[in-house]
Amino acid sequence: MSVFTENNLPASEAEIDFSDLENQFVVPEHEETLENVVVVDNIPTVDDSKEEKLVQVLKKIFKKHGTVKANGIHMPKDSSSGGKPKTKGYAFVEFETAQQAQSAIFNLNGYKLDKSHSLLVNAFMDVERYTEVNDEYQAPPEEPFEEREHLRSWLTDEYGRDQFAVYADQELSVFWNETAHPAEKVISRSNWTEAYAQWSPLGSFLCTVHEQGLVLWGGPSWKKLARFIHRKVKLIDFSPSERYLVTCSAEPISVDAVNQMLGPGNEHQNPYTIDDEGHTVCVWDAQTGSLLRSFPSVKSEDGKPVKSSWPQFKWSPSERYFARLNQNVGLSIYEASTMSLLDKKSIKIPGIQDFAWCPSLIVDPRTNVARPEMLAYWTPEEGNLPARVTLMSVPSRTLVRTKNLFNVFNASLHWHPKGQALCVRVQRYTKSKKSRFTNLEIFRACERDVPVDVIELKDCAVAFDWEPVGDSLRFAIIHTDDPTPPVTNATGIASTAVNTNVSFYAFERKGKVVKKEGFQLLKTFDRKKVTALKWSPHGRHIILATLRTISTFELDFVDTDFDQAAANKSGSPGDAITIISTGEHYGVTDLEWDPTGRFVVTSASSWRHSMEHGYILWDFKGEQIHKAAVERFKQFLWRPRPRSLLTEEMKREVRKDLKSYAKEFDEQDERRLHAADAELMAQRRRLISEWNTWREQVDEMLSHETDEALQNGYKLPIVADDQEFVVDEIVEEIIEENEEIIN
Amino acid sequence: MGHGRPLTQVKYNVDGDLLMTVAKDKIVNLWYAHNGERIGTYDGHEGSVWSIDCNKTSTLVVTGSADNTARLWHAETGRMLHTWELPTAVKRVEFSHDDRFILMVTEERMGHKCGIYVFAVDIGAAEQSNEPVVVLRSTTAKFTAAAWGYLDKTIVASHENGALTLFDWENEEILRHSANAHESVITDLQMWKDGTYFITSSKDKTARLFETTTLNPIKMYKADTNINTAALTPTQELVILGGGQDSSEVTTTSSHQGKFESRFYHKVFEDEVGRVKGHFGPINTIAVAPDGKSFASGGEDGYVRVHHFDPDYFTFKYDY
Repeated sequence: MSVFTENNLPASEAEIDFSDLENQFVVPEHEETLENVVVVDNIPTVDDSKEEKLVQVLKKIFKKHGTVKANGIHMPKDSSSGGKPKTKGYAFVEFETAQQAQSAIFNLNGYKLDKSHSLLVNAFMDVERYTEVNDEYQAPPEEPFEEREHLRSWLTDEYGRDQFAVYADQELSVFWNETAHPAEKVISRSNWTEAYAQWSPLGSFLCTVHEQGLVLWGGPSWKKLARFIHRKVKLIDFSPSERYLVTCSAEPISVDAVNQMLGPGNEHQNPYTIDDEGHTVCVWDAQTGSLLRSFPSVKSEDGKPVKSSWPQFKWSPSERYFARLNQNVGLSIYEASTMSLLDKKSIKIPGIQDFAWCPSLIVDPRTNVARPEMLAYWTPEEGNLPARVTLMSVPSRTLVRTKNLFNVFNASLHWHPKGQALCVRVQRYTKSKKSRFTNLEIFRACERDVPVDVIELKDCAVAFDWEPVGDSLRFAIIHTDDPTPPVTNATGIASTAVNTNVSFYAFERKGKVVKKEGFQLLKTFDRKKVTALKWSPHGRHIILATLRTISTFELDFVDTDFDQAAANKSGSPGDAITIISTGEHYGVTDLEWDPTGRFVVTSASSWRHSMEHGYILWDFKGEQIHKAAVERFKQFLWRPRPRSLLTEEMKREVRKDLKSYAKEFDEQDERRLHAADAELMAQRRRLISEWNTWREQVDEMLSHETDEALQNGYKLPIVADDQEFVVDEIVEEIIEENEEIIN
Repeated sequence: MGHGRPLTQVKYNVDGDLLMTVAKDKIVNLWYAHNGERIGTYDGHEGSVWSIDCNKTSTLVVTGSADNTARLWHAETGRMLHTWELPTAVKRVEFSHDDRFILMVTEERMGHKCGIYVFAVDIGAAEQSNEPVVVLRSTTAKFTAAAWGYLDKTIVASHENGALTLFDWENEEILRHSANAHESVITDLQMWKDGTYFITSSKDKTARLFETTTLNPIKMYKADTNINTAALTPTQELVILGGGQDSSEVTTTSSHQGKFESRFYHKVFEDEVGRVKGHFGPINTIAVAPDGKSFASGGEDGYVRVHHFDPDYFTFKYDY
């Protein structure tokens, strides 16, 4: 290229060399992409005479999903077999756009043309890509084995302490629970979670929630164990043994949005495919972090989304099955191993309102084999049909027991945690339909023929809780004769504090005292304002609390076996039930037992009100151990413990020798207390000596500077010093003492 | 009834027999400290009275008010001796240790910058000078309080943004500035009797101890509410903090919620050791008697409460 100067201008445009610019701004020729072409396989092979008809049929099918180009359907023919040339059984369909092709693939793959022909629709580009795959197998590089940290290391704590997590302000912290001194911090990170935190049910993982999804943490180093990409995730739920994880988001899944979030080059991390598009609920493998299946949100028959409760999927205790309710329509039970519907179809149960799995596997005492799993559901009255509670065995779907109920307004299902019994709290209308009362229908599920005991209350039971242990089948209820009884939420907390009574019942076998087998009322505490009941995880102790109200903040600590002597004397076990202590926690919103049943924490969360936030640690006797006022406190979460490996017999043994064990631990506590005291004293001595040294220095400096200032004419005012008394002291001294007898 | 409006400052004289209180109701009261009997009032102010002090010999009283004046009174007779006219409200007054000067902290308002005015006082003279010896200006947010350093060499001032400044007042020079002494408004500043360290209170829910010469923080006392005032006890190693939720933040009238207690902390260990209840509103000001046998607190509720310590207070000794 020549360079032009002033003297050397070109005569005409033609002389200028534009080639460099042309190269720079060259418009690439339209590249022929084949993204708008799909391959349709598994169509009938036809000869010329029927070809036209088949093309028409295909056109009709495909035009629903996009505009097929004129002459866009092409079927290759084969005449090698002799006779008339026949089509090869596949066709190429060309659409106007790539999106239409995508839509056709998404919707028509697997379309049943007739009995023997289901269409296989694939992108033409895919076919091309897969033919390019190397035929020879190449082993992927072996990844070095990385040892995972011990996920249950916290259980090996030498003092057997429990951990808890506190989420306050922006900071999430984990502590060791201590009784004699303040809790010891294990770890603390700010902005660790964006919404809330949650432990997995056996305590292995700490779950944090973020905009992009959620993360599981654990092990002694608290490192990231698994990451689950689910944009704007709102709710999380684990299966009972932590194998599976269910997440729910308000935002439907979009593959593109996730790709965008991950950034270019990271698409391989995207767990979703086009099949997941628009779904909101995901089931994951909690151990590996891989997506097992996604589900759309529940829709009613007319396609409108239905408000569903959480957890949306309820797991059977073995984790083999999980089920979802489609209210009024039916129940979908899935097999966890295949993630597909049990027997390939949902169960139609018109009117179904709620269901619950029996929470525990029941072992048949005679055969020592676990019985099949069981769930219970109920349907309301419909026309002439009565309301009905049904127990169903899974996977056989056989009905174990049904019971009809009348004048039902609402019902709720409460399984005993050990699976021995199911209590159905039935809210009924009186005949006049003007007021309501409650029936408790108790199905003894593990006994032959499932006998049902009925307790008819005169008023409304607003909350119900089984004692979580024992064969005695004890439970407590909150009941009220208030004309507008409060509703109870999923965690068993009543919405308002009206005047309530708390009653205890237990199942009594036929014996000397008990004439008739059945549930007996043990005791009633009158005129309370209780909104929640919480049994200790090991039974016996229960707390009656007034949570989430604005005026009452009472806590009653009840021991149900307190006064055994009185109970034995009178022959009525209810006399043993005693309120052993009463406490108050201003602004209390939540209450949680520690997994050992030794401690209780009541907390006041900033999510609920703006009053005094923080938590109080109590022991089971109702003695306040520690109070922590925490600014913008949100959550207190005890770390759950895994199920005990001891058998009932071994536990009994331990209980028998409790005194000898206790001695050891008492000594340990004593030692720790002394050590802590000594440490504190040493710290204080250090502080005081530092202070004194500093003061001595300052005093010396001051006296020096004062002398200097006084010499320079600085004058301090003379303050009348009334300490200067003139003390006149009269001293009398006895020099000699003589006694003389005067006659 | 002494005051009908929120208290602004309470102060003992050096001998500890007299208690002076000022409030937003223009009244300046003088009381017997031991029984709370009122001796009299100093009448003349036409606005809220923000601050009061008296000289070491208890002959003169100075008051600072929102009527843009500071007044000097004859302590015994209540006669007004002098009125200083200042550009804005006087938020804090204090006699120097040698009683020859008075510092006055003025408000920033209506285009007038805040300042610390130092006037000379002459007990013998008939007339006091209207001309300030110096005027110290803030280089950052406005002043909230000020106090004399030891031997009157320096003046420490606190600011609305939580900063502290140490002035060589005679030369109008800034010796030291600590920008982040507190995280919020400093509400009070009280000097230890010898002027070598002082305590500050703040809306950041803490009170802190600082060394005068270096402005180095020495101790910090954490509370769970706004702290409006902090005082040092002369005999026991304690500090007393007072405060409570601002009335605008109080949702109900329950005194439980407002945290209107006087809180006692160990001066060296920073541990809270006790509380004294009583006020129905936030505590605005606390003063401890120079003999350490009693303390007075003034609240937003208009009450002044004088507490005499129990005998076990004096025998109380922290384990170490």
